Amino acid sequence: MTMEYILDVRGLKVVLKKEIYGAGIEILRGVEFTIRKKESLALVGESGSGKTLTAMSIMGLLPENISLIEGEILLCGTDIVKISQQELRYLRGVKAGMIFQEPSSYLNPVFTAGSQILEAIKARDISKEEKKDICVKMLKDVGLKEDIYYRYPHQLSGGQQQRVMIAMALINSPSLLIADEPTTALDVTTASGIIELLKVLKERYGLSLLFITHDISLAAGFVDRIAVMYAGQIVEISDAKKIMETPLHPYTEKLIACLPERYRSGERIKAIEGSVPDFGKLPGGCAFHPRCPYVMDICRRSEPPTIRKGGTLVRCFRYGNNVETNRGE
Amino acid sequence: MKVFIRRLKQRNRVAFISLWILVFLYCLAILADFIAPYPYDLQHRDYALCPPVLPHIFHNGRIRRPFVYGVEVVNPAFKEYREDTSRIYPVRFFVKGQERKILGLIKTDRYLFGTDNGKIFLFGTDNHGRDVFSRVLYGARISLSIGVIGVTVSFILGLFIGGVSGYFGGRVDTFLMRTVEIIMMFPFFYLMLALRAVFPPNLSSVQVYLLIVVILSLIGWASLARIIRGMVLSIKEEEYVMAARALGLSSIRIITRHILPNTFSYTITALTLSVPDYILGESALSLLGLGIQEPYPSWGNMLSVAVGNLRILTGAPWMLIPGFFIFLTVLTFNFLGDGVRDVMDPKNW
Amino acid sequence: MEIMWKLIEVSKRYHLGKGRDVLALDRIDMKIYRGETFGVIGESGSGKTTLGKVMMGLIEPTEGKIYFRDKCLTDLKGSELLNLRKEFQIIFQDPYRSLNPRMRVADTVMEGIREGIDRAEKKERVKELLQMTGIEPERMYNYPHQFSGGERQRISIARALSTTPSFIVCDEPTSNLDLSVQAKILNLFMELKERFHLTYMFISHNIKVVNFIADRVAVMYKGRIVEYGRKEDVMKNPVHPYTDILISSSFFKKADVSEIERLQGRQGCLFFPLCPCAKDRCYTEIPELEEVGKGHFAACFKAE
Repeated sequence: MTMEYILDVRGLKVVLKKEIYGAGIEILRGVEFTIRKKESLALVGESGSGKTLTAMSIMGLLPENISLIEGEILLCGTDIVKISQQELRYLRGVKAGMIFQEPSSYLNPVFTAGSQILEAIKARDISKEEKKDICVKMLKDVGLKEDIYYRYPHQLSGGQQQRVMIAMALINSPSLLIADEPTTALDVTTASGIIELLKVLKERYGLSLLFITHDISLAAGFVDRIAVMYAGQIVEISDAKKIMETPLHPYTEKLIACLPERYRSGERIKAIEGSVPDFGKLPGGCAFHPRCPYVMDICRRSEPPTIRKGGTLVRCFRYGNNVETNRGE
Repeated sequence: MKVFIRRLKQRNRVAFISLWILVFLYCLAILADFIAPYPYDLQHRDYALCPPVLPHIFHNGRIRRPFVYGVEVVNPAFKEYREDTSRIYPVRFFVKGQERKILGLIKTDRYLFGTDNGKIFLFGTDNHGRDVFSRVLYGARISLSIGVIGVTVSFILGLFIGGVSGYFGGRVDTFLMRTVEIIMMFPFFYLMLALRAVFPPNLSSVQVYLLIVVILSLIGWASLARIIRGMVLSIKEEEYVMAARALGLSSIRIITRHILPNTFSYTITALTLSVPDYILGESALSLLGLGIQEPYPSWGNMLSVAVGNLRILTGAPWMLIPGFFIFLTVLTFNFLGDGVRDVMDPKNW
Repeated sequence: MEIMWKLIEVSKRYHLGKGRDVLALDRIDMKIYRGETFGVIGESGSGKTTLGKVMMGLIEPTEGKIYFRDKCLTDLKGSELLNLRKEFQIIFQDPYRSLNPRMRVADTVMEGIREGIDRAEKKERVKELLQMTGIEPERMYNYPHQFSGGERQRISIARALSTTPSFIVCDEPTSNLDLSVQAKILNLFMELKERFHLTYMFISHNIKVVNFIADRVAVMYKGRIVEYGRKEDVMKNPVHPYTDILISSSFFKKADVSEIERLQGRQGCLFFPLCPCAKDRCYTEIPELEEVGKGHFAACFKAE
């Protein structure tokens, strides 16, 4: 079973190290999900849910003061938690590539776009000309003209910069592309171009895609499955269409109810009571229970296990009490 | 202010300690009249270049109240001295002595400590037989205050000019900045020399003092004004400033309440760190004979005597003690400046 | 309906040196009626933020006239303008930059309260304003960095309300906020509008939000208003191709963008390079806003 998964995250726990003594503050509290070959999964959550940290963990890019204390991250079968820095550096780019939110921050302003893509090529035994050819072909694949090769980042528009980032991420033909809010900083028309591009590339290269966003309706528009995160855990994973039509977890349900397009003029939006708790100040039991309209006694006392209901995995006592396996569908 | 000190203590221990060292030094300067056992110009003719005479507690193996031995002049020509253990002069506190006024205001005839007939030269004497310890205390007044006053003047000028220039822009800005650039172009060092040479040598020391402060401040404010202007230009575009304009607040209010306070994290740090420059500037002037004149002491001019004369340097190293005080002051101001920079960031509040 | 704002041929030109000019606003003609929420939709470079700032008097227009309730703002100077400023306020996009980090929240909100009342009364008013916008008055002596993004936005709203304005420009007020926080802030906007009979100009690149909250909308592209009208008309029957593309992109339908890249001189319709149905005429002539439906205007030759 395991070899089927391009990405298999099990029981991921990440903490913020406290300055002097004491246990760290848990930020990711047992994150689990899988992605198959050619499958796209969106990790949806608001700020403070831990979605970006999850992506960083997978790439081994956690900052100094945050450390992974438990869990396995199997990227194409290799547990990257256990390997050395050197091995990890190799995997990065070759097995998984990543693109970020603000493309201009991630492109070096003093080098041309082309040279940066060139630099990303990890293969050793090919000549410079061959490398350049690969770059040019990649530029075409992402919808850019050849002359972009010689341009500097500040000469490119936001959309073009993001396409250059995508070229850099895919130049080594990885199996997985992680995209952390790639369209949030872009205009709507540019963003839809990038989404279209990702769809095309996914097909053409047989990519798996991990798409991180706070916009659940954006995700629902183009990914296969959606995982909803809240307070450092995944509270629901399901098929995208299913989740939008029949959300199981109360948070998902209420989050979807916040979408303004679901209301007519003059209606008040049904907002969620309360606010997202700070890490380290989580309420006992289910993290969402103070804001949950369906709260039961058990929710206050214990953390709900992951339960399978139909094709959905959900962490909620409403659907039973049994601990199921945490394997993706 | 209390909050500021508390935060400083939390964030930067060294800065906190430095602050109190400086407070101590400034107290010494203010209370010099009370603490110094001798006036700064009293010459003990027979005791020129006497090494430090420190109090003892043990005598013949027994503890006594603090005292000093007498100083025996071995060889007046070569300035050799020896402790004369036969004569004992107890050190008393709050001794009566000559009446004078602290800071020219409070009359007193008590000194913090002294001996009745003995000599207590804690830091030795200089080539005129004047007590170095007392002169260091009086000298502290000049050196420490020049820094603070000079910096305050620069601060006010720099903030005002820089603020107005940056906020209003246009012709005002152009005019002010060109003026600043002209000022910065002046070779101020030579101007100082020229001015000092031109002024009559018998200017009262107060006038000399003010002249030095003015000269030093004029050098300092120009670059500060330029930097402030740059900061104001960018702060002006911040959204909260636009919101303040939208509220209909007057320009003055916007500049003083919104823009300038947001330059403080830089300016106060820069100022704290530039106080040492003023102190060293005064010392440099004094070293060249252009600063405070004899017999008034400043750390700078005390050093100049020592530094110019190799014999004194090797034979009477205690004459360099003012240098240590300059060093200590500069160091503590630097540490304090670092701490201030930490504290000024509102994210740390 | 009473006209509150009237903009006539308002333009804003920036000279970037070397003969390059940017026309941030290109002959804007616009009316806003009292009591409505006027939505402005556009992407970056459309001039929507410049429009808000020009109306607020934060930026001076290079041409044109702006009327607020029959007073010509572009002619007023000095204290008259300062006084009138209290009638209209603005809320910005970035909650992390719109509050002075060195001022306590109470002082920020207090600044706009009119003079002539004593400090104790002003404090009471600040407490009222904070309560109205959902911030506990006990926290009024805290600094901005001690509040979350959504809370800071509420404080900005309280500040805007402190001058008892009749009109508020909301410049992307929820774009930096989470979905659940956005919902609450949008609700707050609607409540305040009802309670204080406010008129809004709501600027956003997010069509879904504008669609929800606005009564009439204007679509801006490169400094021009290319289409405007009642929200239902513009959103359901967009005339200008750009409006169509915007709506499709937002709702994830494939947008009908031109495949051919066209070059553009300095004349003609600005949308020519990307327009899927451009004709020769569009290259040479600039379309003006024409009525295409009741109260629905579009600047496109297609409609003729």
